[in-house]
Amino acid sequence: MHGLAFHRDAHPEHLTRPYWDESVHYVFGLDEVLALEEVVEELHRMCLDVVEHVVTTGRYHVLGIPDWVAPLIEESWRRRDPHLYGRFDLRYDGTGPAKLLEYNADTPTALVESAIVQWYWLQEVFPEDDQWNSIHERLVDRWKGIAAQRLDKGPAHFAWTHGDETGEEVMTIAYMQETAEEAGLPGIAIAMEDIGWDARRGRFVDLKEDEIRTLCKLYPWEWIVNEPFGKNIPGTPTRWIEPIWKMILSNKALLVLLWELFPGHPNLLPTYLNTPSNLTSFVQKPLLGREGASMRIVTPDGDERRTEGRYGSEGFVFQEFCPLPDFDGEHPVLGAWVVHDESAGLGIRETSGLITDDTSSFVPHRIPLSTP
Amino acid sequence: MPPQQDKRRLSSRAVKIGMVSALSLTVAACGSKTTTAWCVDRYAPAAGRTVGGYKVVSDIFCDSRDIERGTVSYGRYFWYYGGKRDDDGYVSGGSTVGPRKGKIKSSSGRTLSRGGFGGSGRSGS
Repeated sequence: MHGLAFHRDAHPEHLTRPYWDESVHYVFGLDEVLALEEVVEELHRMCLDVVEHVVTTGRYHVLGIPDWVAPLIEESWRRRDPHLYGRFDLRYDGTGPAKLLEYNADTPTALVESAIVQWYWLQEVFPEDDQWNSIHERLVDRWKGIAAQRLDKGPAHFAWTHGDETGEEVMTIAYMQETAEEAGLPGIAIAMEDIGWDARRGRFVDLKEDEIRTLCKLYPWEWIVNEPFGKNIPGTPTRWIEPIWKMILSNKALLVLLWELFPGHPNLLPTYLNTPSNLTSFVQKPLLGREGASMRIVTPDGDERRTEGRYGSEGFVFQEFCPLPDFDGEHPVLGAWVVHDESAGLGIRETSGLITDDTSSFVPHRIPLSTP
Repeated sequence: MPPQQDKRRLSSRAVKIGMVSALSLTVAACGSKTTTAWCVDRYAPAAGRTVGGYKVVSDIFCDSRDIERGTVSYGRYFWYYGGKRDDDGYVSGGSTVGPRKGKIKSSSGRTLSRGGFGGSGRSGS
């Protein structure tokens, strides 16, 4: 697969393993997948409960969300601004309950690999088998729903950034645009840097100075609100996808709030804000970190590991250390996709270390036709 | 005994052949360069940088007619062409002279400004 060019090229140290690695794959039983689907949809509902909780109680400070942004989140949530997708990262070893490690609710990647590349792999290598993967169909369906809700008949804009040196984001956003166009919603690509602000009309505009009514971005909300144009958002009718209420879910403090609202839930790990509390081994994660950066692991034998990064100024969460399963020295994380409110598919990423970062490899999976 | 759900197929049936090649075209198209004109602050060079660099500010401080005419403003704010904007909002490696070829992306009207989004760093997770 030469299409996914961003992996080794983007890492000067030249990784020995390709990003797409089909020399191995995972096999799941259908029962197993159906059970995981239920877990994913329950986690999704719990996350929506957290949004409702934060909006109702006004506990935005836990998430480090600026005061002026809170009303935007509340309005967006009360309006039920449509959401599209998200990816739950789960620890799962095939025996015990899956544990939620993180939720990528705002800018999830590895979408094209999950939806398309491993699907073609299945067609070519195991055409008789099944796969936990209806991501593409569900995205198209969801776009149909989103398109039907809008009042205008104009196109949606799809924003990529010049800051993306790997091409991964461009590829993902291009794929999003494809799925929207398949749903009958025409798309226009634009760089975040090219978005214009028409002060007279009070509207965000594209390069032709046409109003941007719906903007699908793969650019994190916490950056958007801190940039010069962020202050122009209040009062504009632009529909953002994902909507701004997802800021509550794309923040590691979500894990703290989940544990607080659903203590002892079998699919959650104990997680605390800015203190390890009673945890003797834990993973310390920055509230707004990305790609496994700025993390610190303290293992039960007192060993300590850190990853580099500049994140963490907003605070940290401390999550109970639960080592990833080990298969031939590789550690998989299950990326379970939600589209709208339903479980949609799976993408597995493996790393040799304990932190799944941007050096991980994507490994396909299948569900044998006749589960033994 | 599992319920009748056994018959359910979990994978997509409707992925269009040819979409992946269409995708790679889209990606390739994004690689063709147009030059960005950054509105920068002459009095905010990046501290400690040997190659120079200027703080990017909102387009509203610069005159878009300078781009069209190829003139350089001698005021505090001027257009800086090309280069790369870093995570701290400083641009370097570009030029105060606009390119002769290709498109220049920047503001195109008095009330219109661009460049207010972007530059915060790598995204994706």
